[in-house]
Amino acid sequence: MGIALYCGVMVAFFPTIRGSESYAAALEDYPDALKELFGGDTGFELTTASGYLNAQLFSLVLPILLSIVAIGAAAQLGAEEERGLVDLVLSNPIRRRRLVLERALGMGIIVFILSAVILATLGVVGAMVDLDLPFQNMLAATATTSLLVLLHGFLALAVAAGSGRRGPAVAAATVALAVGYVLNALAALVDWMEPARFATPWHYATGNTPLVNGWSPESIVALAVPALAFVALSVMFFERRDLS
Amino acid sequence: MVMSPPESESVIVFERLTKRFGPTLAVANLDLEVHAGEVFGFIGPNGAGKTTAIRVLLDFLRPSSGAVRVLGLDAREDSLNIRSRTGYLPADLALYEHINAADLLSWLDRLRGRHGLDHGRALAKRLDLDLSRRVGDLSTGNRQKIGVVQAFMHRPELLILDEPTSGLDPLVRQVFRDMVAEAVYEGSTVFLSSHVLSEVEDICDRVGMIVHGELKSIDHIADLRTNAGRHVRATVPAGSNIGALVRLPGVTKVHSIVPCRSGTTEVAFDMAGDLQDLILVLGTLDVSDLIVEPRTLEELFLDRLNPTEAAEAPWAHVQRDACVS
Repeated sequence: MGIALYCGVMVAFFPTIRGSESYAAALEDYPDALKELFGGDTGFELTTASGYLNAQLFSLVLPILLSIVAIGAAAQLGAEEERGLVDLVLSNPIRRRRLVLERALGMGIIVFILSAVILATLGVVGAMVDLDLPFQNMLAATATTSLLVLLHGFLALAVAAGSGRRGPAVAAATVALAVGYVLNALAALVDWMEPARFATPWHYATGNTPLVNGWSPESIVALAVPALAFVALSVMFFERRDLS
Repeated sequence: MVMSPPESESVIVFERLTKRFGPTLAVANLDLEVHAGEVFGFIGPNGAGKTTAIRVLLDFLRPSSGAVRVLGLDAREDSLNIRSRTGYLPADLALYEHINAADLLSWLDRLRGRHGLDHGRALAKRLDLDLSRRVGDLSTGNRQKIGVVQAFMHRPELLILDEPTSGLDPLVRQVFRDMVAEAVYEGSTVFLSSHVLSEVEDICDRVGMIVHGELKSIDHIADLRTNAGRHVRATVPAGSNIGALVRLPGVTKVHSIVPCRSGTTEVAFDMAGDLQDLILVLGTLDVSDLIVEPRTLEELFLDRLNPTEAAEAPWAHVQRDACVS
């Protein structure tokens, strides 16, 4: 609910910024490097709808908020094992993989619901303030953000499934998220780092600026494949090891 | 070591089970069979390997080497089948805290194939457990009761209980003992590990002692009791021929010879074997008080753990101060 509120407020404020010439002029004076760091040329155009939404929501805030939820849900598996609850569950006739897959499915559902709420909020409030962005673009942006979040969430799940602990799962996914973001941002600034951006999920989530360009199948695939790979790893780790 | 009769079915078979955690050897070459319908007690100090062996039964841990069969099936390959016919109570019980006990049991029942909760509710009532309360609000003892109920409630063929009565008060422990007896009467087999040797003595048919990952002995409780020896405490007039008592051939250890206020002397010693000679000697003395009681399982096993102490001469540590009576 908080996320929906945040989105709604951000969108509602847009009209005051849109087309504001003084605002645009002020932004022109920002150092180029700073502008690129925070989202490249299009990303920092706060005065266009896509630029605004990108800067305010999709380039950083939404992924982080959603990731907190997804990583938290994944790391719960580790927390439960630390507490001994996995013993209670697995003393019953249940396959280990079912535990992992149910958790992954649950994460997918949570992220889906949150994304749907975000999309609905953007749609409704956007219509109220005449945001004038194609719905498909907003859908594409939401979808790629969801995949980005799930990718990191499933990474946390794999670490939790492999280690039986909560801490390492949260740490690994959070570090991956942060490092990926920084690498992707720096790659825009530093020439020799340019290729590094292709290794970061962030590039695929935001690089093609779905808000501007709509759907990009390569991005979807580049995010979905590692995400599914992490799920497979989670199952493999959890089935093979000794439970603590 | 006691040899098992070949006709008995074995519900649990440990065949040279070894489990290592990195450099640490938790269980070494464990060879053990638990027969259908028996109550088998697994005792030993903390860290001896009891819980490790139990967790291999349920496929939580995989053997480093050796084989484990439960209900005639491989513990790893057929774990699903085994777990559907087993009730387990772990040593450090952890429960979901945000729901009430009834919902927790209900959820577990569903996981196990919906046997129904009638038996579970009846057991909870006998244990004086309020199922409507939220698990997080319950005391340790009450949570342990939930653990006991969930292990027994689906009437499993095999009960695997790790420290089942920890945190339970004496009345509840008595109910637990009844539950074990009833389960066995209905055909279940019980494999339990415990620190509480008096309980093991009361409930179990056979007891296996494991120390530092190795099985040291397996005994029938009945045999242990027969051969256990007795504590004898006799109060006789001061100046009596106490030497005749303490030099009897069966005396294994003399604990104390102390003079009391009332002009009597109190002698305490352990004796093994036939008591007939003891009775004859006591008959020659003017005995004002006599206590003869069996040595406990705990004492027997402490002897086994500290063989050097047990082998000392009977006179090695005789107390001569304060009178007890």
